[in-house]
Amino acid sequence: MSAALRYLPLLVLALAWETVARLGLVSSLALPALSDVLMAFWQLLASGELVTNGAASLYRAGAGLALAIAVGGALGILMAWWRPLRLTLGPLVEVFYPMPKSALIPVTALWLGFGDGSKILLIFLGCMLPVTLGAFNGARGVEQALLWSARSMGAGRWRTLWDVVVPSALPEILNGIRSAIALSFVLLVSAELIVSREGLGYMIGFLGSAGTYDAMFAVVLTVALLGFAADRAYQRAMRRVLLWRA
Amino acid sequence: MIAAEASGSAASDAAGAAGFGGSGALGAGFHQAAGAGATGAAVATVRVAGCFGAAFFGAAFFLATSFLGAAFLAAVLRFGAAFFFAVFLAVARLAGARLAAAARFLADLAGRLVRLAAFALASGFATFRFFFLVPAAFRFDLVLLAIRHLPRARAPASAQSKRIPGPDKSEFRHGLDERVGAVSDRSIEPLAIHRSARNGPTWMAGTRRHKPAMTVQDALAQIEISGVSHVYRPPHGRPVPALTEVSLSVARREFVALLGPSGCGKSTLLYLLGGFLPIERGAITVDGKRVVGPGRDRGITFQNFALFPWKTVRGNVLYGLERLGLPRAERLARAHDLIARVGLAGFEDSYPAQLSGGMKQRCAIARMLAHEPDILLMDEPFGALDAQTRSLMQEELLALWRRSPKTVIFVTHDVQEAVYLAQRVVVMSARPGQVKAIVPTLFDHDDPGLTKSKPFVDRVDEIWHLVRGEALKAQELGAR
Repeated sequence: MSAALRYLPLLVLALAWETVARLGLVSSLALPALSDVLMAFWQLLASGELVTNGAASLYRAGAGLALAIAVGGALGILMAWWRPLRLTLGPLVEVFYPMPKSALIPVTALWLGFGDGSKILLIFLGCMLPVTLGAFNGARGVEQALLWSARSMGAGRWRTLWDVVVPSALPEILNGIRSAIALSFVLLVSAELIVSREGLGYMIGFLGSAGTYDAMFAVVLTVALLGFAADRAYQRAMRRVLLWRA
Repeated sequence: MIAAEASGSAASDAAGAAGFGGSGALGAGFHQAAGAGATGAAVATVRVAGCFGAAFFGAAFFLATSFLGAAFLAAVLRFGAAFFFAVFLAVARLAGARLAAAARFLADLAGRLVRLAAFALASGFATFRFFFLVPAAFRFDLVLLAIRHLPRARAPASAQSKRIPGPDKSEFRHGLDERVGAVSDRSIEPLAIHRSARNGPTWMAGTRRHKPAMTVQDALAQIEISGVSHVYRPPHGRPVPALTEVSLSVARREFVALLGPSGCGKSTLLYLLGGFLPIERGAITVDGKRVVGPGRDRGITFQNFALFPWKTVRGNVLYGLERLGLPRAERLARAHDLIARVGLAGFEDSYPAQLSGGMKQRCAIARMLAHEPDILLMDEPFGALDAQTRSLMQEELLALWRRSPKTVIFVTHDVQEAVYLAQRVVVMSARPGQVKAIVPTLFDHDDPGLTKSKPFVDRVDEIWHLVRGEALKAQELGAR
């Protein structure tokens, strides 16, 4: 019940959308009615287009994210742990962190072509730094007494890294991953809009230029829904992992 | 021809001077490093630096001279300087009046010279290309020799502690001068030279391989802190001397409290003892072995408990047992037993965040005891607890200790707690931290009215006056 109440504003928005479109207050070209959009969504789903393109997109986002999490997390923790690495990579991270990664879309397309590779590379590059920064800050903030305790119980330096630094940094890493997930959707759709032959972003661009706006809106809604679902699922998993924080 | 030679030798002199300057700085850095206890790393660093240094100076030298005769002459000159250094080392060694050490040094030196000569011959026959490496190699050999053979520990300061005779008998001997070697632990290396001031100059007194003879008295002294100084260097701001020339011995199974105003360095001393901070000056030995890092023989608890928040009570207690590599069944049994012993039965699966302060500290104590360290280091363990919990925990700690006595170093700023728990209270003075007094406080804990008895109250008062003066001084220092 409370969950339904929480999303009540969304329902109100949907109703307002439907009424405004049906009453002809705005042109159906600019905003097709929600019911039309849902119909188009059903058709796309039935024809299988949405599924194949969605799968292609999700594969790219997933692969890029997985790489970003693995490399970014390890990099952040090692940067916090080992001074030479921090000194060499710190400035690089600082410079590239604020850079809009969508600027790299043509670059990755140039390197790896129109296929999956360029999207995966782009998402990897774009999503790595938030994870790296989270891991770095988390690992830097590890409590001295915890490290000392582990050492006094016979843990070596590397053992301590795995047993103390990584779990200490975990909350911040997970937060970094959350923003990386959001970012991955942004990068995915924009990359697919510009250089691609399949994927949800490509569908949005293609359907839009073909003038089938209700179908285009259906795909936009799909992307929004996917992003939302991914975030909710992630938050739920995160809460389970961080159960110890009480 | 002559002009070329002159300019060549001038250049070589410059190179030689640079070479010596370089090695001098290296040697200095080295002694510091050695003092900090990182001998292995330092030796490795110097080896690498030696290769680079030799290659660099050698190449510069060879290019500068580019004339075989001049190069040879310069090599001989530099050999001469290095030889002086070697003689100096030998004399210093001999002056130490320890024949065995001197003989060992000479043997080492001879071995290196032979190896060097072989290298020189080989490189000489091979077109003289690499002959320039010989003097440099010799010098770095000498640096290594110096590290290996020159004594490193500093003399302990004369004891600054004034001792107050106590009303109670104290069967523990204080201020023992020699130590005993027994426990083997990777993190502790054999004791370097160390002798008390009255036994003569320390720096020549022995070698790292020297093992002191064990006497009956020695068997009691387990921890030996001699002439330890520590400077706290904040990342930004001026260095603050935290400890100055602190000397203290602690007997096996003794309960010692370190008492003093905040900022007197008592926690720093505990961390040095734990091996968590590098010992820059002075030496700390445990069971006759020099402390160079954290080790299983010394368990620790902190004021903020420092439990692993992502592990349950059981997980925390198990951690040390896992590191010991015990079989799973035995680990679980021991953890179960310990958790029950500290009164946490039923909370095995709780996370630290779900526990009260007292329970957290019980868990921390169980975790510390799990791998059975000889020495317990406790850093204001009850400082964050409320008064009732605190006095309960004091009684429980005492009961635990009486059941299986271990050496305890207990840092606190609570006078009554110190007098109640400890057999000796070490009162420390404020910045820079020094031992101001060592007060025996051995009381009969079976007496239920102990904390209200006259001798107890008097002792608390006496120590309180000592501490009060220091606290006031600390405040003034802070205000300044």
